[in-house]
Amino acid sequence: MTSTTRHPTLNSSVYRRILRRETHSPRAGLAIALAVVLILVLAWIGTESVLAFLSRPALLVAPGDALSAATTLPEAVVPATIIGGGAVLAVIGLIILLFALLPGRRARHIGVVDRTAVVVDNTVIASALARTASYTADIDPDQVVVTIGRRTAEVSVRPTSGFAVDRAAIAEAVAEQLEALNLTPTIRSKVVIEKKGVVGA
Amino acid sequence: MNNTNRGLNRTAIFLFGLVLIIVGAGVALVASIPDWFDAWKSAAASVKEGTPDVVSATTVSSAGQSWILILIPVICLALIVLLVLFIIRQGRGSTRVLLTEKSVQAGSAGRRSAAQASTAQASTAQGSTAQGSTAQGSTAQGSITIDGKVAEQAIQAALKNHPGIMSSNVSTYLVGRTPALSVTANVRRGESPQVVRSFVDDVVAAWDGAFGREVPVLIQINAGLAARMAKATRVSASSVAESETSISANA
Repeated sequence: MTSTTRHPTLNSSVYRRILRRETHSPRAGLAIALAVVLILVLAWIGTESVLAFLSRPALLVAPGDALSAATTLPEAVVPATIIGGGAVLAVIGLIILLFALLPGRRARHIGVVDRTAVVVDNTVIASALARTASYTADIDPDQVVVTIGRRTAEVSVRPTSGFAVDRAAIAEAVAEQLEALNLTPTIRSKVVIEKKGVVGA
Repeated sequence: MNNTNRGLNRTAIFLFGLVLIIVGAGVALVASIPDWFDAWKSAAASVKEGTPDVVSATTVSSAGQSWILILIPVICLALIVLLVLFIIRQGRGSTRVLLTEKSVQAGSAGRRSAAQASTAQASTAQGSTAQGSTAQGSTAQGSITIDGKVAEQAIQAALKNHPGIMSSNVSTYLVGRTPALSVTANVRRGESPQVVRSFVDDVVAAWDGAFGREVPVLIQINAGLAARMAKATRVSASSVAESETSISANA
């Protein structure tokens, strides 16, 4: 029932859009957080203004006092403090700016587009490789740690103390599975056998 | 797969960061150059001197306060409304309708999918609306609407048959104008992604057969929180081959 060749170009533009969006962050969290900060500041300024208009006591600072404090700032504070404060503000701004400019890739890989499109979380790839490695080496999956990057997979194996593991066999099994997964971007694997073994595993 | 306006988010974050950089760096720069710092001091002093004039010129006699104190909250409120709209704009894009089809000449297309819709409906016993052309004979006009719930429930029910899939979620989204299905499978630790993918592909193929149309399907294979905590199963994947992938088998 698999439909491989019936629709070679089925929805390819739709899939391209979906996959691009699913592998990149929408930055919704940061955008919402910044908007909330702005809302709070604006609400506070608005409230203080209304209170001042009604000649009520201010919540924190009355608008008139705030204005006079701002205008006397260069007299009241040493330049070093102003420079420091400005620099801190600029660094925070730079970090926020980077969130907007960097690609914001998510830790996911794309599979081959067929009838369906698939996105696999790096955690899933890592645990699948760990299982393959542990089966090949005949050790517990907990003795294998896999780190997945965008283009690399590092498989770090802690052998059971006193038992040798076949590094080449593990490397081959892992590479074979990665080839079968056929992910984009392609992942190259590296197997590391740790010097220290696990006792009693 | 939602409809978040990512360009808008990026622009908003960019502008926020840019304003902070300009203000912060500008203040630091001015304070570090003595001549500019003196200019700032004198400018601040003249603003301070000018303030009482502005206040008295804008004072509303009945209230005894400047109307600027009313203008500020109004501006704040308007900006807050815009920001709230910006927040609400996030996400979205999910839709209820998987397929809408108008049949001008009742006949092949409309009838076919109406018949298949009822098949699908029978298999899930849920939520399809078929305003059919079939009932009124060959010259009738009408439209058919298939609710996304039909696909969602049929596919989700079939996914329960795979031992490696701990939980799943199926939802319908509009990608541009195309309805598409998003299938999220939270898999057990160590489960092979290609085994899960081919299982879901078989389920989708079975759904295609029942539905009679092919909508784009995105499969997301994730490790759920429970999957991360759980120990890897030592059971081999052989039981998978026997588990049911068929939707139409139920119908």
